[in-house]
Amino acid sequence: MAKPICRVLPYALLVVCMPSFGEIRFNGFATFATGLTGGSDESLYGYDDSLSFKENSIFGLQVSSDLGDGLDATVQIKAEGSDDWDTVFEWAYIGYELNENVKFIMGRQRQAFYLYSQIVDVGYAYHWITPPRGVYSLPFDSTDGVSVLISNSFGAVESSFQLLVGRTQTEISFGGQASELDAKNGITVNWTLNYDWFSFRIGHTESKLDLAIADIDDLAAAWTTAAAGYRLAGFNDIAGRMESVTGGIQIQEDDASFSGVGITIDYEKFLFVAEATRLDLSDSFIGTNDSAFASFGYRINDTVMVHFTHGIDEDKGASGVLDGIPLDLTGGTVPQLDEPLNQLILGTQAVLSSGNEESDYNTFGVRWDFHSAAALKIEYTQFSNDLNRTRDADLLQFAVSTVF
Amino acid sequence: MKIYMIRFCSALMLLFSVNLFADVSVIVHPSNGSALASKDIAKIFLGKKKSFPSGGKVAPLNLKEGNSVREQFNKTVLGKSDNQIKSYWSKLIFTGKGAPPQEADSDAEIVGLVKANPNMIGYIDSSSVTPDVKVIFSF
Repeated sequence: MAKPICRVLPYALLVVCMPSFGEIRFNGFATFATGLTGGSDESLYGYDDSLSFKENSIFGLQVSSDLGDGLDATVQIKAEGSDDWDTVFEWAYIGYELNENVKFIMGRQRQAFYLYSQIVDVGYAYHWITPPRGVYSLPFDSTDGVSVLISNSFGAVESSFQLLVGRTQTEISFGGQASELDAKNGITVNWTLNYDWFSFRIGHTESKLDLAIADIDDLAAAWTTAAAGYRLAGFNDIAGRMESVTGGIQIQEDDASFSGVGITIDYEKFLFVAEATRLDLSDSFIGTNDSAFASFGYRINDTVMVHFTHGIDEDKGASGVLDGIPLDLTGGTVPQLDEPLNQLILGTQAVLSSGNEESDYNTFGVRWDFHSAAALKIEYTQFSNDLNRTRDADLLQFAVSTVF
Repeated sequence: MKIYMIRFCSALMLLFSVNLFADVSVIVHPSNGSALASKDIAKIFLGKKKSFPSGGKVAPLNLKEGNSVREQFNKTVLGKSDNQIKSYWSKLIFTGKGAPPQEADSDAEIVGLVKANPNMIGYIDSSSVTPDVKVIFSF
């Protein structure tokens, strides 16, 4: 706890000590969360059967300055328990309001992949402890670039359109391995229509993606080596087909796309939120990931809401990558190469099928606004992995979220 | 003892009736010729409308959190509880989409600010209205 404050404070002091040209506003948010799974062999969303206080615990501070004439500068610094309380700049931008309808945001900003993307850290702003992780699963949220936000009213309907052009270069953790990610030429469009208690959102992102994962790169290198062996032995046809496997599993200059659609109905005592997303990386071992959830909330009174969420995930590892490669090469080729190749095929099949997932979950929760600026949340989640029952898990979580 | 109880209860009831039936007035500068319906006022206080129909920039004023007039305004005009409003603003603040209205401590402070600035709009207990300001809506 002392660590984030020590790290954030110098930035805050820096801002305070600067000569003030405009009104400076400080806003903050914090979530303290804990949870544990139901059994010693169960793990889910970073939790195991011993209470953890790091996962989902977040402290954030935003400093923004209104520079007048539509110009503002904002930084948002966040420290997350699961990240060893390292401070990161999630937002750091210059905003320019051209007029009442058009605003430009230049700099580091949240990429709006999801309905709750931009406020995913601000637990106070929604009913769950975190939005459903099956859907909210991309390993990064911020990008560097420029976006334009166009807001209009058509009678009682408000429209908000955003176009974002940016590039994301960051290190993510993939299956426990640190991996360099570079999403180039990123274009994101998203459009939200809002009518009083009803809102509809649709979004789409495309980019050229590089993701260097050591295990995958090793596997690709093995295919290249094997192909060279067959080429040397004069089997050019099969060598060619083997070389193409490299491209089919690695993520290099791959076309990546992400689409999402969501609705929110917030009518008096009732809340309904549903969202469906698709990640398409078909030219790599990842393939496609489809996710969706529906959540119902009921406000018992002004301070207590009970809610239920059901979500499903269906991930399909790339198919067809090994189509041109015969599984059992006997006779006609090179015996001393065939045996290692069969091993390579089996290894590659294992990697491709690791991209397959079919799972669903149910979350029951309650949010209690026990204070005018803080909420206590309790959630119980039942997770089932339809392809591997040993991965089923129950999770109990508690959190306190506040804004200040 | 019984008499005390009755007095206490009637005092309590008085408190409730005052809270329930206090009239709230939405006030602007006397020079402001705008006509605003409840829906327009809600849009202004939710940051969705940034100028008056007459063209001038609008600067809404809130009473401090926990003030009963503010609660009544939130419930009646905005149709949301204080917590829901706080959650609404946290969505805008942390995404760079807007900042909540400036806050004032008392009805008198709101009257003082509104009479000095044609861009301002506030709400107060109707009993605090002075001739320096114009009431455009009350409930």
